[in-house]
Amino acid sequence: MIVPESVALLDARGLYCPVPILRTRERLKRLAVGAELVVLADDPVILKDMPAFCRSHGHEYLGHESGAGQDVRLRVRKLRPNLV
Amino acid sequence: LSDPEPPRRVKALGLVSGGLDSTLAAKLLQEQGVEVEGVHFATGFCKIDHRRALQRPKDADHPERLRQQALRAGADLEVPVEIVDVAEEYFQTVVLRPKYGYGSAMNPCIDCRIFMLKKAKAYMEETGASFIVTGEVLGQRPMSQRRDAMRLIEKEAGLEGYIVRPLSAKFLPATIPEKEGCINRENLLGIQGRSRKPQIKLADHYGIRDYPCPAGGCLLTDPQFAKRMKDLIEHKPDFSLNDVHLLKFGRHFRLSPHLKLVVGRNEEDNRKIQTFAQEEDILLKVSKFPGPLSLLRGKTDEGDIEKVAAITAHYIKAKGLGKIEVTYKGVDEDCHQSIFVLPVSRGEIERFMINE
Repeated sequence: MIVPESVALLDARGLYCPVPILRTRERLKRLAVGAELVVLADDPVILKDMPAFCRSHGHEYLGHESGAGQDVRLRVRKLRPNLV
Repeated sequence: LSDPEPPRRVKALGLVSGGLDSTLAAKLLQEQGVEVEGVHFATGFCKIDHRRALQRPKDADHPERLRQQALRAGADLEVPVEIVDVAEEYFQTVVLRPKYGYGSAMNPCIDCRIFMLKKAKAYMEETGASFIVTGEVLGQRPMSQRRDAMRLIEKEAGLEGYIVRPLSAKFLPATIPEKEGCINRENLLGIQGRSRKPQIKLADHYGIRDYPCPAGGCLLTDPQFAKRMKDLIEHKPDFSLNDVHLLKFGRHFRLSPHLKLVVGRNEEDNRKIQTFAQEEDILLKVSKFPGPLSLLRGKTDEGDIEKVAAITAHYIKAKGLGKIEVTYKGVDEDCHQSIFVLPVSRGEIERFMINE
């Protein structure tokens, strides 16, 4: 899995949902609107939770690709400014 | 129905459990032009969270069963749902010391509502919402959704008049946002009782699918879990959260006031038992045959190891093999010891099992 340097990366492997989602939310808060975040995870449920999170929080879910074993690499684009 | 004046744009904070009712309640207000934001409190007693932690192979092909339902609700409503981990405080204040007591199991429903609404109130003030919306339905739950209980909960949370329950609003006094014209009471509903039909019809109408079964939600309402929890409180007043986590897995046996045994039911249980094992616990396993992992916690007396080895040996598949070798060791020890025992009978199992 090669991640371009300009893209922020969150390694959430070894964590169970919704923890990777909560980490994603925190990480997104520190990014500018329009920035892309790559999340590495190995809990398969994230493929349900991440699109739901994006729809709920107004960000763009850009899809995922599978890596070694259970690893998945998900891409999210921040669209909505921080709320609180 | 004549169209009333368009209400001014207000913001409400939805208490989102992830179930259907709270989703619909928020939806009904959205339909009135209210901006809704959600908050979800994770207590550590959600059955779906528990099941996710188990990572059963049979669930692997159905991630939708294990999805975070509050996020699902947020996606259906297209509103942000804040997930707040309140486990530690919830356990200390609500589970252990409920002012209003427990329901039929270990469920402190009234205190739970008060706790969540107080938290929601603080969050509401932070986010600039003007009131709270919940999916409560009058008469649906025997403990917390009675009229008098609702009133009490509202008062204790300091939110009198500020909790809108759109599903049952027609049966309840007008709330402040209704009186102020922020929302239109006419378009709220009059659902009550335990039947789910009106909600299912409404979900269909809004195209909300994939919602979880009702009340499948809380471990504290589970009689089996409650029995174990009561046993723990009775025998170990200084118990830890680790003790509580352990209650969620395996079969539990009370050997003496100071000693209990947990026997895994399957691979997932065994893995979890291993995870929660602490120093001073003793782990037992049948050698030569596939069987459960057992965890012994507490003060052992003479003969106890033999007894729990015999309970462990009861759970191997093969029967009538005579004496079975069971190995055991302290969590931090490297060397096993072993003992030969006859598996106990069904009757003995029932004598010691902490069961409903």
